[in-house]
Amino acid sequence: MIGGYLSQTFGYTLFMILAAVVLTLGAVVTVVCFALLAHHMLSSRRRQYRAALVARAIKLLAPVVATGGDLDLAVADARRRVGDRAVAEVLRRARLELKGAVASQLSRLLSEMGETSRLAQEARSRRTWKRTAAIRGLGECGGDQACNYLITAAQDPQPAVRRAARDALLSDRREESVRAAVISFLDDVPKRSGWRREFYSRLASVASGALLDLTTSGKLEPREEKLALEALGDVRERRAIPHARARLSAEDAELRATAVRVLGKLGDIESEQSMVRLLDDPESFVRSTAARAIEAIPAQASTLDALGKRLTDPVWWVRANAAHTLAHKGEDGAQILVEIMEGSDRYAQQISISALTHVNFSRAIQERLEQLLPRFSSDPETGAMLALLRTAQGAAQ
Amino acid sequence: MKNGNGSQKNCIVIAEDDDLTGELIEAVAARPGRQVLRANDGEAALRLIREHQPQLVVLDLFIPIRGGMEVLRLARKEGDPKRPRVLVLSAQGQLGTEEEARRSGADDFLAKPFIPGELAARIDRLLGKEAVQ
Repeated sequence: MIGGYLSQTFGYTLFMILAAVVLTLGAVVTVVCFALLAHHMLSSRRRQYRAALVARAIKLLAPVVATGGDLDLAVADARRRVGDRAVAEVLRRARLELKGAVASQLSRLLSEMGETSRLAQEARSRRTWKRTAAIRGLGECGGDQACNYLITAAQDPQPAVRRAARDALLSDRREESVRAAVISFLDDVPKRSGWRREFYSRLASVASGALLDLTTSGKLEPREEKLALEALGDVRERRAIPHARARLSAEDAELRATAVRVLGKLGDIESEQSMVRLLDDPESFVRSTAARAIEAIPAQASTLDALGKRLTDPVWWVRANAAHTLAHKGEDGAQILVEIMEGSDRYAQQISISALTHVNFSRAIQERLEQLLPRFSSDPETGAMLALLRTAQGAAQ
Repeated sequence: MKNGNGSQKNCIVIAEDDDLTGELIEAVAARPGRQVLRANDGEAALRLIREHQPQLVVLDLFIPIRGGMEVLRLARKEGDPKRPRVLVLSAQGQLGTEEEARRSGADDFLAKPFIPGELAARIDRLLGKEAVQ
């Protein structure tokens, strides 16, 4: 019907041309679809075949790698049975999981079987993704030969390749590799803060001494120093304590906040008074960080009193963190929270009740709360919170 | 053979989703007279722990379905006299994780990458001691 309408409207010849075009396009699309389907099936089978080879290589090599058997012999046998690619993949993955003499032995074997050279060849590719993948592979191989390529790759024009090279150099862990990674990082500090944070975190985990040197070198801007110091705190690097103490009086408020958080993580008891001073910092986020950091150190009575004063801070976060820390300071902290409930500051009362909800406290405190309940008859919201707290404690006991 | 605390003596459950790492740990842990069982996820690990009451669990923290930390907490449930000893394996640079794991009841913590001999020594040490009552 449509054909008849079209042939009447546009003429028979034009209709035939249109029909031929449509049929040809249909045929081309069908052929492309079949080609894609065939390609998918073939590559899927190839992947399955490859995975099966890797699984066999794992069974052949893992027991020898783990028990320190004759690895050269095992590798030669596995190469005959499952091929170089599968063996190389298993050795690279094993090297990432292991350290010590066995890791060095795996690097040597990868170099001897030509895997390092193959990846080095791929690392010269014009395609960025291929170079990046090859660099990651070289990082997995480790050893001197791979390390030399990685140092060169750390100066690659593409940021993704440089980043992969730095990561690989850090996983190598040797002093010269770590140094090359740090130099490359300082030459072009990534714009993304997530990448920078990740670099400091990795550096802290593999060579905290190198990160400490970098942090104290004065080469880092405050925003970088903050990230580096945080990473040192995360790996509990106690040698960072003197530097963190010095930064408690830094001009940059974020650096002060980071320093107090790190000292808390490191449980630096000697910094208690300095941390207490930061409870009066002009910046609210520094006060709130200090209030939370004190939780990690055994605090004196005067420190608890200073935290108690922060329960009436104009900023909610400071009040909340002070209440949280007091609630986790045992009976003395709980007493201060109950005392504030006897006052008239409604916000301080509510934050204190909220903090006490997360801890168990003594019978004496519970009795004082019972006595307080009638005071809140005119404030149903706070009264309800207190009643809930009483019920929760009753259930816990 | 049952232990004093009811767990199966020399039975080890390895909870690790990576096939190669699992195989490496299994090879390190295997000794004559030891039963080594493998689980690829947290759910399977808990099932093996319930069924076999192992003396030791070697636990990777990043496993699917139920995370390692959850498995650890359930395996070390307070009041359970048959609770196994737990050796946690996790990537280096996550020292906060080590603290959390130890707080949750891990008996030992080993960072990856590890030395096979060190892992073997820790397994031997944990199997040598009776589980904490």
